[in-house]
Amino acid sequence: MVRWTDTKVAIVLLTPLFILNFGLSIYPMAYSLYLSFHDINLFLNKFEFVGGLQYLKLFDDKSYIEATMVTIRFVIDSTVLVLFLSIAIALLLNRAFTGQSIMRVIVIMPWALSEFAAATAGRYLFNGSYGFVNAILYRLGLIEKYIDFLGSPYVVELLAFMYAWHLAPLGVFFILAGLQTIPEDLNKQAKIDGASFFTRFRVVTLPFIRYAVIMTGIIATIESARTADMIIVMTGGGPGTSSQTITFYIYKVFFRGLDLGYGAAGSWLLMVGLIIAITSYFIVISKRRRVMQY
Amino acid sequence: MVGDKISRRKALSTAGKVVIGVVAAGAIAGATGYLAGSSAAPARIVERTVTAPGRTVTVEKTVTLTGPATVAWPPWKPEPVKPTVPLKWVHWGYRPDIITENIGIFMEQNNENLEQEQITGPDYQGLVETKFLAGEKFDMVYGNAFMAFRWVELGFTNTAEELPHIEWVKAEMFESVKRAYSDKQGRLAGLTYFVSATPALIANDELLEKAGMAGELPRSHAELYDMLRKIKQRAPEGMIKPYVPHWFNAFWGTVWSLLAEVAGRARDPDLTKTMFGKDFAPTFDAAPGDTVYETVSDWRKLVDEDLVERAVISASSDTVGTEAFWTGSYAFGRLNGLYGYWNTMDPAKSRIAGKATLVPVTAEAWGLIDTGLYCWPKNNHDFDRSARLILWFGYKDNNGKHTSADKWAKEEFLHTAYPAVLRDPDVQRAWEARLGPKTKETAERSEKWLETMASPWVWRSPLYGEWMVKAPDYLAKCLAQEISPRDAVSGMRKLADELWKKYHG
Repeated sequence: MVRWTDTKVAIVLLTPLFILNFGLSIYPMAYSLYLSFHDINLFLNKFEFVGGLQYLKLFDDKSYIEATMVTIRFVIDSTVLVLFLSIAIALLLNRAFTGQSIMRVIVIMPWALSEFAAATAGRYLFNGSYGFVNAILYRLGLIEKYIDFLGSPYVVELLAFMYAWHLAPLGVFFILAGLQTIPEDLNKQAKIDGASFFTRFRVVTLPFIRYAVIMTGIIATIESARTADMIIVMTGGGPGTSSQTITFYIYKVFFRGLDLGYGAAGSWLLMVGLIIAITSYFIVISKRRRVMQY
Repeated sequence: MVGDKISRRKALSTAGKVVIGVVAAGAIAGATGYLAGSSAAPARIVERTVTAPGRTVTVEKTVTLTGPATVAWPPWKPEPVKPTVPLKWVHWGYRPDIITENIGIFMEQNNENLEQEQITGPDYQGLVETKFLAGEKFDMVYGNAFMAFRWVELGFTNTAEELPHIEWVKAEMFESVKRAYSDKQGRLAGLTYFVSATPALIANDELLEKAGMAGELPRSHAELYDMLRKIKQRAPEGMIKPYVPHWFNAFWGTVWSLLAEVAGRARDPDLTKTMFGKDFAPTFDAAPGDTVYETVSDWRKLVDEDLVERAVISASSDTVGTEAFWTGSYAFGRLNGLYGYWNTMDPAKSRIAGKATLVPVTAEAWGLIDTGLYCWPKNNHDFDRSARLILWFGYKDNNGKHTSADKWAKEEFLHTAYPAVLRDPDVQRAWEARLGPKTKETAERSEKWLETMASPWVWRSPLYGEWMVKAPDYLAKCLAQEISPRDAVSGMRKLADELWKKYHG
């Protein structure tokens, strides 16, 4: 009779997950790393090992550098907006009011939409000729003629706004969960002590939701750095190339240009950048924890 | 002559000559008809009667002017037993209802088993090529002309030359389409799903009338741009901008617009004189007098003078421009394909339905070939079954009818390589329901568009695949007023030089 120890059971249960993870994540990632050290050309029947040449080429590629700057701008804008909207909406939903449950369902809706659908909505909202926002502003007498929002120098901010609208509901629910763990007495005591709203938020609320906020920030950073649908649908990287992010650029090089080695190297460089950004978040968290402990 | 006596020898000799003559005439007529390849011509019976002394000899020979197509089609038999392994068709999914209906007819007529797989989105080519590389078996796949050439070159697909009786198919095609579908060796890269010309130039009749230019249509790009300036000055009521260009950030946006306009302006339909030579070496330059440079400079002037709808420049597909034009607030619009005009005339979609005109080709050609081909993967389930599939959809069904082409023409105004389909009274009647009194002029004009459209020779080189990915960035930056036309053209030229060196140097 086979003796089923806890370890054996764990191995049996984890094996399908490991196979799935290996097939869908580990192998493709390893293969993409392998590709990034090669120069591949289907027509020339070329699959040549070139070491780190593809990575060096990226540093010399003006389009990639421009796309990096756009990505940094987009990620910062999106993350700040997501955090601001998530905290604000969570604070509102944490108050008792009639129809609270319905509001919570409504708030989650943009997250339930696909990114493609959210981007399509954004395109219609901000269209320069027949967009909804233009129509409202014009009818209210706030503008004399329609504004070409998606052709403006602030197109990256508009994209970030639509992205934040799509992603913030997730943060709202993380933060709302944190808010509901705050003992009501703490707020009452702070009020009696005469603390203002902002002081109460900083001293009472923030420590309870800090990890939810950090998690929201991490998710917003990773997700916004790798988004392509929003850009493709709303602006196609335009006007010119002013909203072309790294992901979109890599997508064009890899899928449309079929320059597989170069595209893979671009993806890995993006991944390194993201790892650095996420690590810095964790450093901030652990530093804060040490300060609090001692 | 009747009743005159002739010798037995002479009578037999005469009868023999007649028989030989008739048979020879039949053979010649048959061969002529075969070469002419006109399937619309009826079979003809040649008959001569000779009266010889004592008896009458009637000599009869049926001569088919159409070639074997009408008498021997289809060159296949339905499957005796429905195959268990289905054929597979990979497509980009436009009007899946029509596709599914056609699949039903094909399966019924041939007792076949056919599955479909839809790949949507702008990375269609990449995903299909991933399938080829992975060794996946499929039997038919949609491709644009440049994809079809690429796939043949890479050994992913067969040419259509290997299909049985391909000469019958070719004999029925527009010459311009046949040329456009032929690879470097002159082999047909696939059969026609549809063929159109892009970007279609459409006039908004109502706005032109308001601008005091009713019925005026441009004959060249220079005339069009002059008209735009006049229209802006006259500022007709309800106009946002005079022009919706086809300048969005996709390979079929700015780049195709450039290819089409340069070909038209320079009267160089294969663009070998003005852009890429027969050896695919780039020939354009950022110098005054160069058609590419002049075209990009003219575009930039249109932007600087605020004559165009700028939202198009920040779009990744044709949808933004098309929807803008359909609001009725623009005098001229460049839309995807001749089918763009068909949709403009649809009152459910467009506010200028019934009040729009397809600008005819008179002096300069306007369009570039926009086509879908049925390509024939080498790694198919069964050579004969997949050949039948390609022929059925790309040519004729078991009853000798262009079922697929006919349906696309009637329902979507998708033109085909076969003029007989476009001239079919049933098809024209279907168009009349939407185009009304403009049907005849539109049918004639669209044929002229197809006959004169550009078909870039460079599509047969792998350098185009990479060039079309990066070149739009230069054009987009120029149109967004970030770089000058000189820098845009220089950038595109430098890129072309590098790619030429890579693939052909």
